[in-house]
Amino acid sequence: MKICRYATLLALFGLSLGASTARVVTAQRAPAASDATLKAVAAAKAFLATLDGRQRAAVKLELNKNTRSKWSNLPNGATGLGFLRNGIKLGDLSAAQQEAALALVASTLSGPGYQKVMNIVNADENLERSSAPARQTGNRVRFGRAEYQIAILGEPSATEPWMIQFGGHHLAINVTVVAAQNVLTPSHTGAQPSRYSLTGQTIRPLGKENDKGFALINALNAAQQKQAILNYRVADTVLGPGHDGEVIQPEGVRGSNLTANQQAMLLDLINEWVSILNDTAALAKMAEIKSSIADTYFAWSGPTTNGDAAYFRIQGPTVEIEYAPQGGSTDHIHTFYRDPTNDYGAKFIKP
Amino acid sequence: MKKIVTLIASIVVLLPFPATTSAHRVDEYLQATRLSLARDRIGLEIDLTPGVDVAQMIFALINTDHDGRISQSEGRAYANQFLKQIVLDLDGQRQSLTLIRTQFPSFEEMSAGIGTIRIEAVALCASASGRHSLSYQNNHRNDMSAYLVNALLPATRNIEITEQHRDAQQRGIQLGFIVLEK
Repeated sequence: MKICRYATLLALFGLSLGASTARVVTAQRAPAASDATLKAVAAAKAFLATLDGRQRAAVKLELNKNTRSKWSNLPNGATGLGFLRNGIKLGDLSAAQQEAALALVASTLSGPGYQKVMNIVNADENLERSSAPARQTGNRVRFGRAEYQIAILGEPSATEPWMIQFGGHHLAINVTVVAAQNVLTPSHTGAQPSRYSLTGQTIRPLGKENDKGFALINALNAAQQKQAILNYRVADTVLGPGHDGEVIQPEGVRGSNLTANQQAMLLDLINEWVSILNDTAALAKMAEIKSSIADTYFAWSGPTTNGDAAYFRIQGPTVEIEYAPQGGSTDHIHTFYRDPTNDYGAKFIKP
Repeated sequence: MKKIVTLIASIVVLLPFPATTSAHRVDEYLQATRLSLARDRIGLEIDLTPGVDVAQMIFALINTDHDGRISQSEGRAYANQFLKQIVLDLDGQRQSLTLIRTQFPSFEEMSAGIGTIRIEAVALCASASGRHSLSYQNNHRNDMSAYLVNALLPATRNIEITEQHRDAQQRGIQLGFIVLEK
């Protein structure tokens, strides 16, 4: 059964021979990303049309170095101390406007990606409900769905660069749109709680990231683990907000030292972040990452038993991912996803 | 040499740090250092984020006139005090560090455990072509701190980091690197 599963993954990422590579090849050739762009442009215009002048002024901002880098892992209130997110809060929009706002977010993402985003938002709503009763007077920190903000940087266009930002506590979706190209880096996903119940279902917003990370570290042999497992504590993320353009010296086990199955597992793990974006853009990005999988490193710090708190980092020529339990808690996770060559669509935007 | 340092300081001090926010910390003082290697210098960028439980104590250490805000001189004094507790050796030779710029959060931000102090410093030291070793050790407030230390990928292809070793708490790092002929 296990072999079957990894054979499927190998096929998905084009690591096997034959027809299974078609999906990636098609994505590389297809100019179909412009369909995603057109969909996003239409959704952005539809959302803007629901707003009054004051709301539109809050939502629609100039796209520049300062505006695009305004994102955070922190909740509103905390960020309000010295930092304000771009855009308007969902809580300041009518039901119809919220629907249009979320339709814009959904227009750029995959179905599962949008669901992951909403699972993070719902986790934060859960956190608000559990923490609000004990909140001290004067504490301005607020969690919950109403606090998530949406902004459009630049003019929604099928040809010129623009950007959608949707963020709040534990979430920063930054989608840069440049003609046919859609770029999700840098972005932030997180969760607190990392497991909750909703309408009778157990939701783990970042459960797959966690489980696939543990599966990979446990799929390595002793020699590979010796390379992958760092002999020091990693207390937090290194490349979070405010660290645009930084690339650290890679560490861990190199992709070239992994078997084909392990490479497929690594790609499948990376795909948890990449595939938040719409399918066309995500498949093209995965093909790019696959092409340099031999130069992609996987590093781990902490115990290797699933259920314990462990940090991991994936670093390759066009991808940087960090997964970091906060304060040693498995119930509070931060992750960041970057592309050192293409954050904010740098490859496609002429300076 | 002094002129160069003054020039760097006068140029760089005008440039703001990029906007940053950090994780919500509780009882630790997170000290994150990034080292950058160049032929003629070693750069240090340090983010110091006190958790909620230790923030007031750290703020009081810096705000020596107890007026509730960190003045420029108080900030520089703390940053220089911090740098005195950094041990940076290049090929076994101790390097002196020059403070380039600082940025301090408000008391409110620090009290919330989200205020990050940012310090940038430089050691001006020439690395000739060939192999070198660099050692960095952070001895600041090791009674309450969590550490991160990383080397940034060199901006030039003429410098290649060949090895890196840290202690279990990341208070220190030893780097091996090669400077290639131009």
